[in-house]
Amino acid sequence: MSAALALLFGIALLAATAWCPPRLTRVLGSLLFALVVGVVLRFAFGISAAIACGLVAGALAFRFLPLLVLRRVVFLVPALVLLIFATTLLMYRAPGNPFANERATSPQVEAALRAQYGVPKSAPEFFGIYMRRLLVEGTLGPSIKVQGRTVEELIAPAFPVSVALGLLAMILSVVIGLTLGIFAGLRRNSAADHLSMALALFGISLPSFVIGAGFMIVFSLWLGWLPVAGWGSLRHLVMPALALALPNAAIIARLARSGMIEVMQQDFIRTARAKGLPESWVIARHALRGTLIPVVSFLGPAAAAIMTGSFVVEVLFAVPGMGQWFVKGAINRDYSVVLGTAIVYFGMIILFNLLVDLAYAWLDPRVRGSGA
Amino acid sequence: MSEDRLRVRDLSVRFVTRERTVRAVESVSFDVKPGEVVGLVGESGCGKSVTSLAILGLLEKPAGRLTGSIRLGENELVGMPESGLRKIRGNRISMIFQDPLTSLNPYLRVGEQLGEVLELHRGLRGAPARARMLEILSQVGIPGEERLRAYPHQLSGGMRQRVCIAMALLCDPELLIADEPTTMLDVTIQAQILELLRSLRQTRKMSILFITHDLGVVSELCDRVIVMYAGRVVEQAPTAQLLDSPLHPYTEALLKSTPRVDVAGGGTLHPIGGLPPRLPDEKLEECAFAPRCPRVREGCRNGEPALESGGPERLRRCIVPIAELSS
Amino acid sequence: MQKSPFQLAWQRLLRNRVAIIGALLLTAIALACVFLPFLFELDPNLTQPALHHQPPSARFLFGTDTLGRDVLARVLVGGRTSLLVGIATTAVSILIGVSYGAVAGFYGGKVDEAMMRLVDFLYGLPYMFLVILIMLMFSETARGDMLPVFLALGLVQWLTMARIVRGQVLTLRNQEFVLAAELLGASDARILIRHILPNVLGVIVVYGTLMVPSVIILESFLSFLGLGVSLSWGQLVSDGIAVVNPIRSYWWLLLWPSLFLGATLLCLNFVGDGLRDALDPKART
Repeated sequence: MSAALALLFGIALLAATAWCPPRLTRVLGSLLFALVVGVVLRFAFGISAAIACGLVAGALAFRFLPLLVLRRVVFLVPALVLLIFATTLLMYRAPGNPFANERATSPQVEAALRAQYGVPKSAPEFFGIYMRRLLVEGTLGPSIKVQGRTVEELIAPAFPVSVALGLLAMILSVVIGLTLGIFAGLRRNSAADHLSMALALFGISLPSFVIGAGFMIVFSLWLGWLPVAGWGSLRHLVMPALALALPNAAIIARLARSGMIEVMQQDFIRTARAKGLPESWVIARHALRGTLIPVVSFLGPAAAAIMTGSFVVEVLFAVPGMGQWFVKGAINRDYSVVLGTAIVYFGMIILFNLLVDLAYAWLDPRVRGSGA
Repeated sequence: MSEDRLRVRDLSVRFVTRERTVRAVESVSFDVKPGEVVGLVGESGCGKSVTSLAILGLLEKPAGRLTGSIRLGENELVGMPESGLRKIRGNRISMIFQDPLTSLNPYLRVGEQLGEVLELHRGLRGAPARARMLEILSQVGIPGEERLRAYPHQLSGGMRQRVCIAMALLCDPELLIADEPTTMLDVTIQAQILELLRSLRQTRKMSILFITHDLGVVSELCDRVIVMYAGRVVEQAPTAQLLDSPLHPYTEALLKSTPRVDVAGGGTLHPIGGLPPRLPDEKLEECAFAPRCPRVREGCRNGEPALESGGPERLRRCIVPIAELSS
Repeated sequence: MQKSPFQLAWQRLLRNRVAIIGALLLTAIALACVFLPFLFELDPNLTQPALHHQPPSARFLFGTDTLGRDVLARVLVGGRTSLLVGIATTAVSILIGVSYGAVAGFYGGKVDEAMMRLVDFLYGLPYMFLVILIMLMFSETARGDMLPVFLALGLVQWLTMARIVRGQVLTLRNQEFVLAAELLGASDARILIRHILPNVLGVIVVYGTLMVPSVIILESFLSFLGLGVSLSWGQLVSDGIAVVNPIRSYWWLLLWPSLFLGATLLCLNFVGDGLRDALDPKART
């Protein structure tokens, strides 16, 4: 009960950051930034080195980082902490516990195990232990199900795999989507346009694992061009990345198309033509930025969608990424693994969204002044 | 007679779509002499903007179809390939539009938008380009380096329009087409822009085709006026004479519906009854203004009147005897 | 007589052939899933191990699966589940989302900012996290049921609806007709319900229709991970994939559910797009 109250309080606090004045934002933001840098470095270096680097980073942030970024930091770092807390509560609510197996475990054995792994019976206690472990010792904790390994040891090899897959999928969605969409938008109502949009509609109408399975059957089993599943070479990347990319590419194509059409109807395009600019300049120099804006706005949700899809695609193609750890951990009630993967995913999304915000500000100068 | 800068003869514009064909401009002819400011006046939808876009070949494709002749000095613009037209746009003929905010690209700095024109038509980049831009910017009244770095949304309405004018002047055009450039601006700013155009005309001997629905502006700036209605020219005259003694009922009505500063209380406003015409799809069997004309009579419905002389340098498309029209 | 905007929109919709075809096909599929099993006494759960892995034939139009169950029956009955989950979840999200978004948009200012921060935060999370975790809150036995799934999905989907409704309400709030109502002394609730919501209705209908396919896809993801409803199209596709091997592809186990799933989603998208074009022709591209 008190835990739920604490959660609500945390959410209220988070909402309250909306009222933070610029000065305070800068100070708080830099401090939190320092904290994050310190914690991340703690994984690699000793405590004094981590603290020192953190402080330097914080000072640099105070001086140089735009308010936009610091506002995000002020919101997101507490949000991350809250996320960990909420996830902990959720996990503890689930029936079953990590130490119950088929054989009945005696209370003493269970108590001993709990003490060893630092997994007390109450969620808030666990949260406390977890946070202390994270901040002070710089570790994500031992895995309960995989003997003798810490969570970071488990997910470290999986991390680059997921990143590679996700990044490739994102790049493919943008490239395929933009090309198709701009092309369709410029040739509005032509056969090419209708065809492209029909294709896009198909892309949205099938779950990525169905597309993936289709690819598997066609390209691996029937044609034998690509390996069915697994990981190791570039050829292993192709189908999973495409399966992940296509639904997003479809949405981006539609956005790019409507964006292009809308921009081409703007007055300043008419001015550009009246200046005697060749059509290629008109499109490249004037129309493109406006077209990209709705696409860039979508990239944040696209990243989330790719992450979601990756759980399923990784399972389908037996790709050794982080998704499997999360799902396994959740099913096995391996709390630390779940939290560890959640933190990493969340961190990646925050970073990505930050980059998207910066790109948006660069594309549309009208946004820059407000520093929102 | 000096060489005309622009000669438009029998210009007709049709828009052809699946549903219908609209004859937006019907057999319009006029000249613009060097250094002259010609006003093109009429209600919304009378075809004045379409005429100006037609001159530059900027009609909506593929619906817009153009026939007739448009001569810029030696060159015939109708039928000229796109590559040739592009060399003329922004270079020998420039155009400025009604809404300076939407006419400028919000995502690019002023300097970049101005620089494009110089790069394209004069091959200028870097320092010489900047020098030229700054020169023109001070001529239009907004000097200063920082203007080049600004974005359109950072400037006021009047400044934006000056930027548009600057952009149009960069290559010393022979003809400037101004499509209602002051309509969206405050009256005081409007006066400044008109003053600017006047001084530019003096210094550069540039011809201006000034499109507007506002007779007040016309009286301020234009040497000659062409009045359009439903896509055709209904009257043409030097400004003073037109305002003083209009020879077409429509011009009369326009004048009567314009508030006057020189009459106590602004004078009585007489609106023109009825609605503006839908542009027809076939040739007209009667005078276009007949449905709303206060002076309509028998002969008006027997076919469209021809454009005839109404005096030295005056043309009119009306069968009502001149003597009947009051001053 | 002048037609109301809704009547005009309806007319535009009826002229959109693709949307009409989509709607008809959708209805056909829905009716088939609901009524055909009754009419032909098809049993999706009748296991006949001796008849396992049979390709489509006169007796089993869609073939049989690993346990000899009739795939046609399973596809049709599974369809009921998928469609029900889609519609019910969307209904719940609409309810929660519209209320939340309307309040945020109506009151604006800091209230709006605070409310939307929460939404933005949740929106930015990979929803699979939340969904999976919520699913795990339920015990093993409850897991094959519909309720946990549709709660889990609904709790995440309302975010989109909240955002959209808030945007609309915010814009409408500042328009003159609302100010006029306020000046006449109308209460907040009255303004909201009588003046603003009818104008938001269009957006709700459009995005609601487009939400159904995304819910169905999410449910299929869950099924693939073993956390979905026991019999749905997603589950069937997942089972079909599980038995694919280079020697015998058992294509009928994968094809029929995928076909129904894809067709339904496609139709929903057509109808949703059609509704959007009908209700806001200016947005038509």
